Amino acid sequence: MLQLIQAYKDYQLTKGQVRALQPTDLCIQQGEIFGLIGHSGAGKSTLLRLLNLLEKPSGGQLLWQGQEVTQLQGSALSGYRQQFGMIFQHFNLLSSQKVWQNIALPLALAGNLDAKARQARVEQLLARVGLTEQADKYPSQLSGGQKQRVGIARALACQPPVLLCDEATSALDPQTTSQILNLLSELNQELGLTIVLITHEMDVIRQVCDRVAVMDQGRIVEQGKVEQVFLRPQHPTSQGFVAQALPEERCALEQQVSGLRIRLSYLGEQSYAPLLSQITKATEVDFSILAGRIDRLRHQPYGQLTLALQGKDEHVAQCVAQLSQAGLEVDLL
Amino acid sequence: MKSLQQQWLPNLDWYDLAEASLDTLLMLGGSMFFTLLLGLPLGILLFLTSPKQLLSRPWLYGVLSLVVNVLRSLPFIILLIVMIPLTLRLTGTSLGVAGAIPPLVAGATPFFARLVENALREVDRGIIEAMQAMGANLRQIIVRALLPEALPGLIAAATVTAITLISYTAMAGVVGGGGLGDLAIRYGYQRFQSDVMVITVLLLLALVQLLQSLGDRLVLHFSRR
Ligand SMILES: Nc1ncnc2c1ncn2[C@@H]1O[C@H](COP(=O)(O)OP(=O)(O)O)[C@@H](O)[C@H]1O
Ligand SMILES: [Mg+2]
Repeated sequence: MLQLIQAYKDYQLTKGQVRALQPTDLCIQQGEIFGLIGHSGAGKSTLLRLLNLLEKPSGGQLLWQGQEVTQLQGSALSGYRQQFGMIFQHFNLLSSQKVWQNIALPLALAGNLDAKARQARVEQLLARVGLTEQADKYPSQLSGGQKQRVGIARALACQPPVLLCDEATSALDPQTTSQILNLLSELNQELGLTIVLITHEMDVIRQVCDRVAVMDQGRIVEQGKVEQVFLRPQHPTSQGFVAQALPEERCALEQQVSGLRIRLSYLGEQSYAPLLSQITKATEVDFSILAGRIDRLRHQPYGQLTLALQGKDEHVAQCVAQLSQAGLEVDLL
Repeated sequence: MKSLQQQWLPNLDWYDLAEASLDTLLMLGGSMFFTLLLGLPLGILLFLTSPKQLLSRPWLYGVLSLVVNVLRSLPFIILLIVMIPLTLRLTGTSLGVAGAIPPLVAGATPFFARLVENALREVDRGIIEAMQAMGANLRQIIVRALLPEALPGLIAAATVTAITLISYTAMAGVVGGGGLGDLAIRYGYQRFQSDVMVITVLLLLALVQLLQSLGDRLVLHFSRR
């Protein structure tokens, strides 16, 4: 649906220029939730802003439904941008306007609905994000989560096929973050809305994304299905982000525990099979659990356990081999 | 009453005072109107052409900025005199209320434009970005986002400008503009009628107070942050 071909972006500085995004190829599929993760300054916002042409690429191409759109100007550019809703870390609501006025704004800008239809659409949006009661408040009277709901309603007012989220949950507490992510996930299912979201938290990727790209220093260093990147990260940056989701592991590894230490990862149906106990029993190996996490990758259950295996060397080796044969991911630590 | 006035305000002519007050209000109103009319677009232009803004034109901004600075650094009394030929062409007279308005506008417009520029700078950049993402064009960004968001700042700017204009109208009296300042200088200063001086000063003070508290109230009313 959206495709970047060797697109890059240079910013002019007072002295010389800086390449915020190295030549990048990227393809966003219709209906998916695509995550972009990276540390601050990695070029995530730059990449996102190329997609709705808030920034023109310095070179390379952007294709929308197979059509080149890089050179759009004036009202064609405005029209193109209206295909995208966008939400932001700091919400960027108009503080001088009431909630309903903020939501009505894109409708007024597009100017294709009469006042009555506009009001009906605003009421529908308010109801969908659960803010009917707050319609006549000003943004400063709302909590962070409510503000982001207004942001989402505003972004979706003109029924865009794509929603771009720039750190949309970074200013929210964990519980509110989950609520907002759930809302995004529901909208994705209900409307077939394609979502591209930026974050620096692996947990956000884990909860909602189908695919993810890891960015570092203006490059996409790794991309793929979330389970693939999550369970088998290849690039050091990705490994760093995955480790972020397992904070206890590092502590556990600092303890002096005897035995072979491994990390066991499993996904989907495997999570429910008693593989670990069967295999350790059969190979006469004892294990202790040092750290672990049982959770969901969007719709799939998954688990990651850090274990110390104790027993005769050959038994331990056999155990590891059988675990991998059973399809579990085994990493020696 | 009569005796009280003779005792305390022996030189005061109520008719003169009323006329002078009216002149001051007319000068203020007229010059404020044109200052807003010219200064608001100029301020918006200054803001938009400044570096890193929507219409970033460093060269144009440099020129505008220089003109504004020159006009602002010129003492108003000099501006009054320098402007006389232009004022004559614009209004046919350099005297009275009509003669005072062009120099007042020339003095206050750059001042107000600079304040407008600063008020617009206070608007969160993220809001402009959100408007662009919604596909808004430049006019829509200005009318629907920049001006409403900056409204409290703009009202404060207008208030400061109006008060500056009051002190300018007092000076305009010197070149025959009339008004309370003129009354204070002609009677109060040149003829040592200190009662006239005191009354005019009190009236000017009341006017300033009134404008300031009105401005403050409006700012408060429109602040939603
Ligand atoms: N408008 C700009 N002008 C100059 N440099 C910029 C601009 N926007 C971003 N950059 C630079 O580009 C790099 C990437 O920025 P950004 O895409 O915002 O990163 P991220 O969103 O991943 O934190 C940073 O080094 C940043 O300083
Ligand atoms: Mg960013």
